[in-house]
Order: sequence, then C-alpha cells, then structure tokens
Amino acid sequence: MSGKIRKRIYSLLVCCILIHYSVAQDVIYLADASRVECKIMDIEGPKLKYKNLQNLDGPDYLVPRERVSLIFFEDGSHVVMDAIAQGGMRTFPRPIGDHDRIYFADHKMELGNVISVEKGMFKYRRASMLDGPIFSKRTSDIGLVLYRDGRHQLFGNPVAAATAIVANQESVRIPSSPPPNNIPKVNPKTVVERPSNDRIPQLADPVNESIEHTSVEQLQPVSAQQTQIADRPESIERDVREEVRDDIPDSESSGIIRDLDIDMFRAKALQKTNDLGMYFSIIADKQTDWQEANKAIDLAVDLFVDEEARVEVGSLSRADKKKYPIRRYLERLKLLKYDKVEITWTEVNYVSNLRKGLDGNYYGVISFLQKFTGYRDNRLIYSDYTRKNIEVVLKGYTKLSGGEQKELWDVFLSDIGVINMK
Amino acid sequence: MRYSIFCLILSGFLKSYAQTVFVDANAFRFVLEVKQIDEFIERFNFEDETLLRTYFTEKFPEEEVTHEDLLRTLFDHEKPNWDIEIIQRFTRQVVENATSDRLAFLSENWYAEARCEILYNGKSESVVLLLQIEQAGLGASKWVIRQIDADFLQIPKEVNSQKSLNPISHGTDFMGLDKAFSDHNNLRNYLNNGFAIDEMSVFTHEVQKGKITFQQVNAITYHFLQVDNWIFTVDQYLRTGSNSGWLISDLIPATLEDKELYKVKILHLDM
Repeated sequence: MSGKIRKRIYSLLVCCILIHYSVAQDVIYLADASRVECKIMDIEGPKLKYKNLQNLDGPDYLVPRERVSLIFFEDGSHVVMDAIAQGGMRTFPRPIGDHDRIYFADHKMELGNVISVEKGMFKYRRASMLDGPIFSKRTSDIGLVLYRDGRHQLFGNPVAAATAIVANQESVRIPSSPPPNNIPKVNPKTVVERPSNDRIPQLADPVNESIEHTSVEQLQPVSAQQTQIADRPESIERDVREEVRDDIPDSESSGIIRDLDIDMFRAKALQKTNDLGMYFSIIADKQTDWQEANKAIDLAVDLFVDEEARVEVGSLSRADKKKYPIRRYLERLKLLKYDKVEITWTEVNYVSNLRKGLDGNYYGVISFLQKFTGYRDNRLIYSDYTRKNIEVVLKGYTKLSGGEQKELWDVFLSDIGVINMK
Repeated sequence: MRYSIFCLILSGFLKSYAQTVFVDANAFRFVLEVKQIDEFIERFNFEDETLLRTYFTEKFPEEEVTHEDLLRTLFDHEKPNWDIEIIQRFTRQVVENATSDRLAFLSENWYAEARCEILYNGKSESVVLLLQIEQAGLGASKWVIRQIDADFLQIPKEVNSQKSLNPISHGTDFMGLDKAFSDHNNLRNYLNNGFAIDEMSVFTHEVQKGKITFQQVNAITYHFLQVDNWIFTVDQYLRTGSNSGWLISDLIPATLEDKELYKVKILHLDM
C-alpha cells in the first residue's frame, strides 16, 4: 500500500473518530463564550456536574449554573438556562424533521438545508424551496445551527443563541425524572468544584482556569475550549436578497400556531384595517340609514379583540388626550354634524414586527395616515390628516369543522392611538 | 460625501421633489417619518424590509440607499449644536460593525422614560416612569416599570427645625411618638439623616390603595445603552418636514463605567 493511500486511510479514520467524537459527547457553553466538551452527570442542582472526557472514571467537576448558557447532549437534545423558567432552565428535544434549524444573529430562525460553511460564508437552501436558489450569508450573521442529524454548530455568542432558541422554539417541560440521557447521581466525595470566576475573558483568550480539588485523586484540569467563531471575510459580499420568515412557533398552552407566514399576517391585518376605514365612512355618512349605521358599528366592533379596545382622540390645540371605548367612539362618529364624510387611508403604511405577549398572543402595530374630509351643503367644511397607530393582536382559537377540532388563528384590532393632527 | 437623491431630499435641498415626482406628498412624508421605535430599530439595523428602504427601492431603483443614509435619517437635523465629528465617528462604527452593533428589542440595555400625568388624591401631579423590556420565557416579553420618580411623594423639608423627639424620650418609654406621627410638617425631623424614601414602593402602594389614577403619557424618551462606547437618546419630533418622528436627540461617547454611572445618575436605577 502506497504512502499516499495509507495517509488517506489514516485521515479517514481520524475523521471518523473525530466526527463520532463530536457527536458522542456533551457540550457546555458558558456565558463567557467558552466551551467545555465533557460528559454531563447532573444538571438539576445549583451547580452542573460533569466528567472530563479523557477521564470518565475520574472525579466530577462543578460549574455554577449562573455561568452556563447552553448545554448540548450527545443525543441532540439541549438545555437553555433561563432564570425565569421553572427549575431555571428549559429543555428542548433533538429537532425532528428533515431540515436543519438555522438561528440568525438577529434571533430569527429558518428551516433549511445547510450546503456548506467555508471561507466565512454560510450557504443553504430554504426548506420551502429545496429545489430553489442557494442563499448565502456571512457566518457572522449566523448564531447557531441545529443540524437534523443531532449535531450543532455555534457561530456566535452562546447567550444570544440561547435567546434565539427560546424565542423560536417550543419547549418541553423539564421532567421530574432524570434528564434525557439518564445522568446518574455522583458520590460527593469525588466532586471537584470549579471556582466561580468573575473575570470575563475576551473571546480571543483561551480560558484556563485553575481548579481546586478536594479529592485525594490527582486531577487533570479541564481546559475550557473556545467557542468556534468563524472568520469574517475580508471582502464582504452583499447577501443574496431574501426574506427571512418569522416562523411563529406553537404556543405551549394551546399548540395552535405553526409556521405562520408574516406576509399573511400583514395582509390580514391590513385587510381588517381597510375594513375599519370603510365602516368609519359608512357610519359617519349622514346618507347612511341609522339601522345600517348601527349594523356597521357592530361589524366594526367585531374587528376588534374585544369591546375594551379604545380609540385615543387628541389635537394640537388640546394638551390632553381623550380615550373612548371603540363602540362609544363609533357612536360619536355617527353623530358628527356633516352631511357627508370621507375617510380615506393612504396606501402606504407601516407594519411592525410581531412580538409575543405573556398571554401567548402576538402583538404588532400598524401606522397609517388618515384623511378626514367633512362636507355640509356640498361644501368642504373641514379636512385634516391624522396619523394613527393601531395595535393588532394575533390570537389563536379553536374551531369545530367536519367533526374535527381545528386550531386556527386570526388577527384582531386593538387600541388605536392618535399621534398628531395636521 | 455622496449626495444621492435620498440625501438631498432629507437635507431639504429638494423640498419640491415630492410635488414633481410623487402623486401623494403626504404619503412621501409619511414614509420618511420614523413612526415607531420599532421602525427606528429597523433603520438602525439596516434591515431589508424597513419601509423607507423598500419605498425608495421601488421609487428610485437607480439610487442605492446605504446603511449610512438610513442612520442619517435617524438624527434630529434641527438640533443646532451637534458635534459632526462625533456623529461621523458613531455612524462609521455602526456601519463597520453592522452585525455586532445592532439594536435588539429584547435587550435589557434600553429604557423608556415616560413623563406622565396622574391624579393623586384627585390632584394632578407629574411622575416619570422608567420602563424596560423584560423577557418572560417562551419568547414572550413585556414592558415593566423599573423606576419611578415622583417628587410629590417626597417628605418635605421640616418647617420648624427644633421639633424632634428629645434625647430623654426613652424616660417615658417614647410616649412622645404620638406627637411625631401627627407632626406632618416636621416629619423629617423624626427620621435619620440619611433617610431617603423609596418612591417606587410608596407609589405602587398608593396605586394599590386607589389613591393614584393614571391620566396620560405626555412625552417619552428612549435611552439606548446597547451600542459599544455610546449612549444615545431618542425623542419624538412631531413636525411636517422630512425629518420627523422618533429621532436621536443626544449622542454621548461612553465607556462601560460611564454607562453604569448613567444608569444611576440619569436613570436613577439602583445598581
């Protein structure tokens, strides 16, 4: 066998071992971005216990929970330290499905198939377009990837990655039984404590912490390895123009929203806003029969999340702003002393991002410009421009359809704020 | 310095451009205005989908809107005493570190200072609430009140400095305490020198007792401490020109220590 072939076989063997190694081990990411490859023994207590991979029969090491950001188990499940959560952490199963989960540096997440990561560029295809174009991003724009085969790759700060995971993924309750890979409890006499270290090293500095031990055994210190930070390419190419969809995960309580298209949300929110504008015109128009006007009021109120939604009214001449419940506002609109009213909204509008509230609903705001024109005896009496901000709520509900319980969602309007009068 | 159509419109050199090119000048002004703090953050981060960028891409496809352009739209152009060198240094840093120097809505390092009007026992009073975004798990978040400045809750300076619990009060088992409790004008004399009222605790207690009713928010200032080496504030400017809405009102170079001091001295946070 030639030397070249032997080298190739050797390299292949090493790669196999390394690949296996990187899968068959747990990884702890600390808040200071250092990384510990180990075998985790216990995560339930105030300090995490783990063993050195080179000495699995040796003592346990401890690290204070508050220093830990992320934990990845060899089976692909992972834990995010979250002081607010019950038990102080959230456990996530290994992602299932045929796609990788790509978490961007701005905390958005996308499902896709990673093609390559090299020379500072991250290339992938989107899950919804596997036959479509290849998207390129700088690796500095990527936070974390959870591969479908259970591996993971951290590009940025583990604290940011932890935030992104929580923001985008459903969680499972922490089991009262032992953690996912059945970590046994350890004999405290063999525990080695890793001292709490206030020094926050720069990412470029390798962290070599001294470890005091109480065990009679001679210990080898665990050298914390650096987080893999990809190099930034010298010439920054413009990214392929693409949309990042805000996939909204299932709500833990109702599990009703999945993969909501943000464009669909915007379209629906704008449709309801346009409907409201139409009802405003009908209600304020003196030509409208009073029964039709009342019907329009009812239909307009139905666009809102509930009757407690309010409309704020103000003017430049008055410092105070008055707030009216929506139905009362519409009743007042009906009583305006104009023969004819035109209420038009500009085509251009601004729709904010959706943000999740404590109640599991998602909240956003739409800003638009309203023109109000009032006529009396066919003469223009009054005209103004008002900018309005409408809070919109994305809310789930259950519907019985064909004998089947379906979880659906819909957009509702909420409080309306007036910004200025022109 | 590049003078694109975008820049010229913002600087007011082409005030009539809207009338000659656009059908709806009001829509144009609407697009230019920074309508929400969300939109401020989008422009700051140079996000693809921000309204101004997509609108100009559609209306002026030959014009490239750069990150620097968008950052320039975020300053209050009518402030007379800007240090241009500082603005340029700040802009350069944000553009060069576009990935790290981004604003994050869920970050702890920004605050909303809301100057409000309330009724306290039926009387109108001013109060400043400092709010912050707090993450609540499962991707949810909420605004919470971190600090309250309510001067009307302070115990006033004593009227008669000689009123006090005399040094032999213990002789009668502090019988004179009943007078201390009824001597409202000189209450401060009966407390230790270093005493400082915890306005937030007192305020929330009074709210719970129904003695405080919220009226309205009069003004909001956002304080951003997220960008390395800088602190800036954002206020709302309601005016009809192209430079309006939520704009940077102040920009201060700041070390980490400066930021901690700012939190204590300016935001009155207990650190």
